[in-house]
Amino acid sequence: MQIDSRREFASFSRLAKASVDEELAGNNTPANGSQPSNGQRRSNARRATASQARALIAIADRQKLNLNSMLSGRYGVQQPEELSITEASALIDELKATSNGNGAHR
Amino acid sequence: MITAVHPNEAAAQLTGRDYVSYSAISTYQSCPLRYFFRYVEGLPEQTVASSLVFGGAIHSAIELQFRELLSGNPAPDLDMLLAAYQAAWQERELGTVHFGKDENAESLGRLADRMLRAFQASDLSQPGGTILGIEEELREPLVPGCPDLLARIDLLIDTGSELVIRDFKTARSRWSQNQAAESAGQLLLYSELVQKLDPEKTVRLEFAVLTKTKEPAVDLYVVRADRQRVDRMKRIIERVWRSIEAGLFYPAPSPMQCPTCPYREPCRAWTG
Repeated sequence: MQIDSRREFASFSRLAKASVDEELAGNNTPANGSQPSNGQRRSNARRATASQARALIAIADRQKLNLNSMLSGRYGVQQPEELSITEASALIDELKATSNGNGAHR
Repeated sequence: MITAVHPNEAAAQLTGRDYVSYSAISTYQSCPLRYFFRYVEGLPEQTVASSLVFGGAIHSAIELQFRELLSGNPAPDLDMLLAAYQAAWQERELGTVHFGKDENAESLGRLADRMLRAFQASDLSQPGGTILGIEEELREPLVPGCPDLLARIDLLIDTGSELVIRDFKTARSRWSQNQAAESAGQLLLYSELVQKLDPEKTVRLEFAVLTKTKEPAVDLYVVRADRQRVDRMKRIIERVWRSIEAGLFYPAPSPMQCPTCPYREPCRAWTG
């Protein structure tokens, strides 16, 4: 249980770091699940690469996750292509950690 | 009132594609008539050099390696890489492949086995940093007055401080650093596109060269990207595009290029 808490903390730390990185990069795309307050700023962010989008779909399929629901709830977007590069990288890392048995979401 | 046609539209009207690629520019530079047959006339290639098919098939295997890593799967084993290599060959009609002396599909299959083993054993099979793109297509209007440049990047990695563009090549022998520098035109242009992904980071250009030798080597070469060289490449693209727009198509006979050119017959029949 203690280990799970530590892992959970690490997972949230990663997300918090991604969020700070996004802010520093000038992208108003919080990773904490809130909707972006300004749609124009999201559209200015460098979008996730096609490879990242494909990877997210593949990982979600493998883990039987509802990716659209996760994207909508956490980032306020409908498709993985709408994430920023940093958001997509952070989410891929998080889901990979989960599939490796190191994540906090199982 | 005369309205200028947008370069992308002009390209679409001329070639059916609303962009240019480095490959197209390079084809024009090596032989303007070959460019005409391929991109303007859209003639099917009657033959294809085995080296091109082989290089493409090795790329497919390497692509599989990185796609699996990005998706959080274990690295594929050798059989999986070879299956990707073979699948790429099966997309080709063997009769159209122009094999070199003492070379056939089986001998190239054995070579692929050795090269992919060497690749698996090398550090390059497990890149450090975060993979951002594999065979990633980027597209931007890079040169004013010219169509968008379409880039396909073999591997794009974020190391935290740098964005690394890594281009995989197969070669008869090991490259020299000079050879890497002279082959860097494509990467120099791609650096401009990648820089836009994150202007704060340095872009690093690398060639990963796998040799087609008895004991294959896997070497990494770093290429310097300075402003002057990038600007020079842009001027080349501009001049080549102006020539294409002006319809300057003519043969450029070469003892190196002509023997394996897929358009030898239409070239001989061409009267200008």
